Amino acid sequence: MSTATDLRRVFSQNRAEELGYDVWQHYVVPPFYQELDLTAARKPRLIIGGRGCGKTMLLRYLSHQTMFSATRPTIPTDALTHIGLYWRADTQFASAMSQRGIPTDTWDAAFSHMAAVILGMEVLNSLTSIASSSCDAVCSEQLDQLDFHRLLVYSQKLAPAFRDLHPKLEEMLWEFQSWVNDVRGRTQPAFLPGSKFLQSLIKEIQRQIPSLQNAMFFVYLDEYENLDLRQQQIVNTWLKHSQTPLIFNLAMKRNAFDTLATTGPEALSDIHDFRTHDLEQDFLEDNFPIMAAEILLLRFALAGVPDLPIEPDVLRDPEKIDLRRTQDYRRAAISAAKALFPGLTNKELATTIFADGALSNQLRRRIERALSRRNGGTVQDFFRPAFPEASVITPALLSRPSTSPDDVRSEIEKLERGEDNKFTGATNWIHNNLVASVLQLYEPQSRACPFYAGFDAFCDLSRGNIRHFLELCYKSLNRDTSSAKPPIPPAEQAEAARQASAALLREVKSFGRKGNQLHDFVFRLGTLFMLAHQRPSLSESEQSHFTILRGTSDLSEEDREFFREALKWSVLYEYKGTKKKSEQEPETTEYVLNPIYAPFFHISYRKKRRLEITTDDVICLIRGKYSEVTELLRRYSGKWGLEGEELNPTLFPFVEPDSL
Amino acid sequence: MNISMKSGVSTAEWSDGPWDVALVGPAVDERGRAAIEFAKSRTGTTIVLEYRADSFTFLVDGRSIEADELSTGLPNLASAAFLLESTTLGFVEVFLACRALVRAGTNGFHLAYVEPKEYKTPRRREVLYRRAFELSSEVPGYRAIPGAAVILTDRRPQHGVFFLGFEERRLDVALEDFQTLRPSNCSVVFGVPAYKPGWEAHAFANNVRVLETKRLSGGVHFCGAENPAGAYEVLLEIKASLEKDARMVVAPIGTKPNGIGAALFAALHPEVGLLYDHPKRSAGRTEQISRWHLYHIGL
Repeated sequence: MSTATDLRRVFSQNRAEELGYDVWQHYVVPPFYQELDLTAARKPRLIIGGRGCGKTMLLRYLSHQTMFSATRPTIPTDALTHIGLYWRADTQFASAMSQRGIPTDTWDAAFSHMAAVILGMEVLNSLTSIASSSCDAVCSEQLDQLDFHRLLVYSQKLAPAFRDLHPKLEEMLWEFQSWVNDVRGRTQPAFLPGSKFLQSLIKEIQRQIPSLQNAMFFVYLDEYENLDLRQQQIVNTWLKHSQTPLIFNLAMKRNAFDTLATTGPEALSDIHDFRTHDLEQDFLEDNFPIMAAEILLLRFALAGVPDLPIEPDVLRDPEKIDLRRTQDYRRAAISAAKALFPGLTNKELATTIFADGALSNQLRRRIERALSRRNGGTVQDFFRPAFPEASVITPALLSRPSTSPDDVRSEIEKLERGEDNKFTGATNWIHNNLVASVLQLYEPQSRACPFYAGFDAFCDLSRGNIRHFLELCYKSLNRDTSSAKPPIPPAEQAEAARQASAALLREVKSFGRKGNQLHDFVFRLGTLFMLAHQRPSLSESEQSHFTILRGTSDLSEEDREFFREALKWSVLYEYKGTKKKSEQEPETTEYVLNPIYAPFFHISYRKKRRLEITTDDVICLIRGKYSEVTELLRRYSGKWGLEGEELNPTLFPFVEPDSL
Repeated sequence: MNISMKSGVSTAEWSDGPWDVALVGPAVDERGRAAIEFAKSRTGTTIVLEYRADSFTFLVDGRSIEADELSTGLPNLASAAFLLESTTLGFVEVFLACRALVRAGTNGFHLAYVEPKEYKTPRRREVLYRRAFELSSEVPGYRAIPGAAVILTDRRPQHGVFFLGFEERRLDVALEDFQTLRPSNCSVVFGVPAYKPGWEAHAFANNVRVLETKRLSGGVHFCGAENPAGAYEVLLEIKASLEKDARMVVAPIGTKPNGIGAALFAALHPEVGLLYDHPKRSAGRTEQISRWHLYHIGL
């Protein structure tokens, strides 16, 4: 039987790197796995995706350590046609291989040598993995009989016996490291010729082990974008000239493919030289809830929770994906996930306002304030605990010049009598205003809004980021001290979401060279959206994305570069504009703030209405001085009719309280 | 090797020196200017040294040389009396100068350091980021230091040691960049006691989120913020506790005196790697002077 401790332990590991190279036990084969066409492909693949979308986990799943895992019960016969070699280049070390008074071609050869040594060891490791697995194509006796004499033409330091070759390559790596550290004092080692050496090594293996004659090796280079430009060109060259039995594949963040150039005259050409898979855009957006549910349930299964609607072995096996495609299965898995992390319905969300003294007082005050500016009606006309959803949105309706208090009262009475009314029906005020109204009421309170609770909310907050999803679950499990087992109360989940949001917001500072600037930008934009959410009338409710209108200044190349960086690090997401007011309008691009930051700013994570910002204001948000940003926020506060009471100064870092 | 340390509120009573050569960096604040003044007043030759991480070069009195050639770019390393003014020199300058001196066979040298009275905090975000310090105007990121670059790979046991300061992002970026360093194999070292009572809380508070979210569990150590000998001892202790073939990497992203301890340790243990992110120090990052320190390294 599982305990809360088991669950926390299982959820505490939310990065592929923490799980090692053999991820068989932990991996859920994504439902789109076959569409990736990775195992049958002969053309290099470019795998793109933001942080936490599962790139590294996928690459480690494809690597020999997992495919030929000792824990994998049966290994299909075609596994030998796809032997994955995972390589995450140490870019910090690689950075030392440039300049320093050493000619570029020497560094090129040095980088190729390093790749040959590291990947050469990986090829040998893959043979050991195969021999130790349930695959009977290779046994360890065959490995012991391998003779690599012919490779000595590349270097006399290599060893002919299989068991000796790996240590020799390792020694070559340390010798190489010593030389890179002291290029003046040490003798330059003889370099192995990169992919040519690897091809020779593989051919020797194939020649001597007939069962591997058709074996194919796929290098998966992770975090390609962190290599310097020249090293990327070398890798591009390997990619361009990939041929069986050695194919190079790359993984990187979005907007990170900085150069298509190779070291030769011909540049890489998309489709001709490689195929691109954008994990988030092409696959995750449509499949995230079921993937998240399956990953969640597998973790619960690993912690020993019984009676779950999944079979761990089925989740791990690409051959069994079809078993997971049925609607019944998907429904059962998602329902189980929702039962573990329950959310609130809109009605329940509205009811929380009446169940809490501070929140219901807040509602009364807001109705009262709205009425003080209008003629007609008392608080009691609109404060109706029997109709929580309708009551909660009345402050917004009463703040709109177009809606008179009499109209609102009349409609709420119709609702009461069960007649057609504007709260429901075609106009549906409740549908359009409820979430924004509840967020407004919770905003000045110390507790988190339960709008952020529930499996569905966690999926929306994560937006394809599995790491964020698992962090939300982990923090929820850590907070739930009321019982040893789920379901986790929504209030605890919401608080966990706020904590996770705050922690992940601080992490933005570590996002590359522009980390500090990105962090400031998120803060500024989030604050602007927070102000937008405080508009008394909620005439444009739940604004959490924006589009850029032309102002007096154009965005500079540096500003555009900043946007590329924001997209690369998934601080923003980009969409083609959806709401053109006329056909004559040019296409627009919409930018959505990563929804994981929504709980921190107390804003909606849903993509509902957009805010139109001029280029001048965007420039101010990107690189404006403190005083300029303060002025911008003051201007929007005035435009949106915000008064002191609508603003919570403790959450308003850019406008000092005494200025409100 | 032995490190002897002295400190005081001024240098007036000190009779140390004169030195033949002082290595100083550019001053960005009041204490830096005072430190350079002190170095100049007791030295025959003062050399301004500045490392450029993006090109692996040094500016030596405005003249560019390769970092790998520092030994030949400095005069009489083995015999001259050297003072390294570490308030103004960056970590890399201190490390490569120590390494050059050690390799040249010197008997010893001095390092000076001046503690600030206050660090400047930004006026904004007082509520949310009460402990936010902007000590660096730009952090280019982790880039190898010639002479202390190691290939990080989790196919061999390795252990990371992070000296921590006030800026949480430096640890965050390190753990993001070096994911082959397993959290269970990463130790952190806090500068406790801090320069001033209460300052240790800034380091704790500013790093705790990263320690928690990245689940670091390789051990927590403490050594005085102004104590290079303590830092050296902690590193010796950690090294002795590692598996025989484990590789050790040290990230000196805490106080400068702790960085001096790390620089000496790496200079004397060439198998140890250094991870460093080369922050550019913000102008006017500190205010006034608190205490002066002079360290003598006997070899």
